[in-house]
Amino acid sequence: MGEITGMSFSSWSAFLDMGGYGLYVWGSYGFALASIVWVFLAIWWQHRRQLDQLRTIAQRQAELEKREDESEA
Amino acid sequence: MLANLRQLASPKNFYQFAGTIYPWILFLAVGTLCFGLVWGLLYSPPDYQQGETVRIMYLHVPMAIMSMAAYMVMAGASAVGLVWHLKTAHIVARSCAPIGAMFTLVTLVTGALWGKPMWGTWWQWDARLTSELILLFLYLGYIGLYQAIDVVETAERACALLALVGVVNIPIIHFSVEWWHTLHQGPTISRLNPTIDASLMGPLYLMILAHWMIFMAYVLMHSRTAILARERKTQWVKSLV
Repeated sequence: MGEITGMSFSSWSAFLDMGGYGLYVWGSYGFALASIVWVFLAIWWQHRRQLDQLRTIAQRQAELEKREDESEA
Repeated sequence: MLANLRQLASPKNFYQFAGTIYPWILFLAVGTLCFGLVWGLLYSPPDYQQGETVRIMYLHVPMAIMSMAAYMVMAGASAVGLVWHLKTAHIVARSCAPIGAMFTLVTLVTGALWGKPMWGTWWQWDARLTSELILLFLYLGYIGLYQAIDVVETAERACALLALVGVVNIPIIHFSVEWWHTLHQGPTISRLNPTIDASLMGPLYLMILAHWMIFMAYVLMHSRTAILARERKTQWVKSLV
């Protein structure tokens, strides 16, 4: 890898090493970004599940009403 | 006037309003976050004392600010919900809790990862760290309290009261570094003349902005789910699904 000019690090290995603090710096960024993504996915899936649940209830309701109409007729 | 506002803040209108604006906020949040990450990780200089670990600040400080800001929004919405009996306000308040808990947990973890190399310890039972840990317990207690009460209206009122009582912890967190001896550094940016070098300020403020937008987008998204659950028996939700 060549020189990255204008940046704080002269090479990719220096970037990953973070002056010897790579574990702490990358651990922080990894944990924070994973949390941000995980919470997004959790919110997204919860919304999908809620919609699915409401749809199921609505369908069951419609079927029940249909059956009632048939038995009356 | 008040009736109009109430109409605007109805769960149905808020559901549609939130659905329209959250994708834009999310889009801006991701853009700002990427910009801030590249600036903070690559183009900002290391600190003369802390070296490269100073880069943890670009996450730790915005997360810490948002852990408290989310709580203040939660308490504010709870107060509005209690006083004006606004369903939407209670729903927004409830949506702040899991997101605020995430900010608090990340604050504690990034703080530990910063503390180990710089202070020589992951954790210290001092005022700043302990009060931030109490904030996490407040969020978890709030979530648990809501789930423990079956009647929604009662749960909302109980949670709103808990949120308001817990506000006492926020100034304790904020001023802990001035009131008590602590390993944690004093106020740096929340003063008239910030004692932070200009080269570190750019990415920091950008990351704070990104975190605010993440918070707003997530609260709007989560509120929509909560509105569906809360209003599931109404006609508009039935015709929606």
